[in-house]
Amino acid sequence: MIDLAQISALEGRHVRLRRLRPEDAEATLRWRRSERAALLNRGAETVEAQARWIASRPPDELNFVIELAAGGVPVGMLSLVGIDPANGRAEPARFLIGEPARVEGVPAAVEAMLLLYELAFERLGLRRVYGTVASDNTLMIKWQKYLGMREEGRLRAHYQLDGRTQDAVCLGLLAEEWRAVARPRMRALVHAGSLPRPPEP
Amino acid sequence: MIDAPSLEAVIYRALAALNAERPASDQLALAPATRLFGPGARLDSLGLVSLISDVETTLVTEHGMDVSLADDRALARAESPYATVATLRDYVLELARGA
Repeated sequence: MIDLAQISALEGRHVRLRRLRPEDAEATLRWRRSERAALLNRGAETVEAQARWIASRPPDELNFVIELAAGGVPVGMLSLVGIDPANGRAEPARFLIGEPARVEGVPAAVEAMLLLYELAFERLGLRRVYGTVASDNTLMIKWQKYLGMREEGRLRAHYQLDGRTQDAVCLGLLAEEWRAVARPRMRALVHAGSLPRPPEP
Repeated sequence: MIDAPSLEAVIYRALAALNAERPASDQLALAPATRLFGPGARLDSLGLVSLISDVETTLVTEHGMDVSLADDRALARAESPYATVATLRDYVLELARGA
């Protein structure tokens, strides 16, 4: 497997993923404390704590900031954690679009995930990616399933989030499903975001 | 085969589900010209995928029409099939006719 430390950025048409740095603490903390992140695990409470958390990420994680390719504006974050070459698996995690108004009409989220899956399956040679989503996060579950993930089970009463006890929905994607289902769908959606709008009638 | 008005109704139902998650000040109009995705549009890719997923599910469960709205055929087009309600409607009709 390639040396994870050598991976500095992933380049797409609409977005670029670059490694998370302690200087991103203020923006990422703001995103994590927004209403949109209510169904994610709570993180640090201060900018200083967030910077310490970023600086202490272990070597089996790749943590990225999602930037718009045009202008380099940071709009979100995405990670690949628990990278386990022996078992050929890893977990996409901490997926959050923190600046939703800046990505209206732009396939930022889907291209960010496309770049992460390409890294996981094509460059790192993993066999499987997996993760859990809080059961109340129905939009994210629908999104992940449409883009190829399969539901593999459910951990009952696994999260206490947003004032409620919630199940964790377990999702997984195998390399062959990535190539047959997920990649073509993601590429079509990214491509559509690049096409001109038809003329007004 | 499904006709254009029935197809618009399917898309509007999916849009209404999205509107239920959006603030009152940011509702998407149930109209053919409503911009969905691409430059100047209001949906992000989370919203677009939700819309497409709901439309596909309704087409297969209520109309027996098993189509994929995001595949290599969408990749081959010169204009976005997801630009507006009308372009999405016309794209599904095209797929239904086997064009």
